Amino acid sequence: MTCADQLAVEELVHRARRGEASSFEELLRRHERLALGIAYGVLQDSQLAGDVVQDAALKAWQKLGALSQPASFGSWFCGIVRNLCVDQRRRKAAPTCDIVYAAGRPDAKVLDPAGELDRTETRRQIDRALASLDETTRCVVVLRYYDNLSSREIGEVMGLSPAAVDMRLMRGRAALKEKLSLEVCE
Amino acid sequence: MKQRSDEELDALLGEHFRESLEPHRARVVDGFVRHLHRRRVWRIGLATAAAAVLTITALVALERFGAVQPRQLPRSIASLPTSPSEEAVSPIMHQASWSRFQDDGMRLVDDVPVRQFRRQVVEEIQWYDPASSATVRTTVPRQQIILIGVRTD
Repeated sequence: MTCADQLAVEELVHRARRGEASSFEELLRRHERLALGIAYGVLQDSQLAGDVVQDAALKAWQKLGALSQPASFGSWFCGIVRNLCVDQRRRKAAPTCDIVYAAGRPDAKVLDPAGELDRTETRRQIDRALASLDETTRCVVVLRYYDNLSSREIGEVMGLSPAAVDMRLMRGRAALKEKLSLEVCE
Repeated sequence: MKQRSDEELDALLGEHFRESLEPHRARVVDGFVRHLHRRRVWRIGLATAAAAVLTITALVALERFGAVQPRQLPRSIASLPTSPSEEAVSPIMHQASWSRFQDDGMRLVDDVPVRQFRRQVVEEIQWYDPASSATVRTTVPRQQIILIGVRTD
């Protein structure tokens, strides 16, 4: 985040503290991908991740006065998201799955059923491969590939040095590459 | 076994996360906006209810503790006429209410057997004194006892 963006975040936080809901909405828009990435990395469920980030947004609005460094809104918000994810995991909710998975068979309306099956199977493979990573590495991978964050930005959110982020990214990619290898008949 | 290239893996992972998470992006801000709307509706409802309660309380208090305008002090009792003045005209109302005779039975009055009957009467008289523009009403309750001698021979 550049200096200009940093100032804007501080100003938005100050305005939001004064009760300007539109400023808080802007803060959410700027950080929603980051928050969803963290939540998905922890929970491995996109639906649950959406639910948790929604709850985290309300909590952040209520506790905005407790934020000591307005410029660090992103990290602070992600901290709330992570805590709620831990709570969610503790609740041991019934496992959910994508509606596409739940369908079990291709939708008759889908124009390319074979391709859809292929994509479904690929998604399952990726999810299984991601599940084999540890939580921190998984979050790093999600934040890089989903939100396109730099190693420094990921490090600020995860509490890691840029070098540690790069190391985790490298190991994560290697593990995923191995698990997602495909057999090709040549 | 052929492994995916780095480019293939990058594209695969990027597409996977976008497909999984992009549909949920709008929920974050939408959820917050809905929450604010619900709170606004709740606050308006609460404020309306509070205003209604205050209004009702104020009305009840006004009714219980009297009207705002001061009453005129009554004239002292001594200054009120207790009887019509000499110049007063004749009474404007004279009314008497009698009850039925009540038979009290036989009794002895100076060793003479008599039968006693009793009745009550309320007499009301109203005068108007034009000099003082005062209306005076007197109400006098009376009891009338009638003794009727009884022949013993």
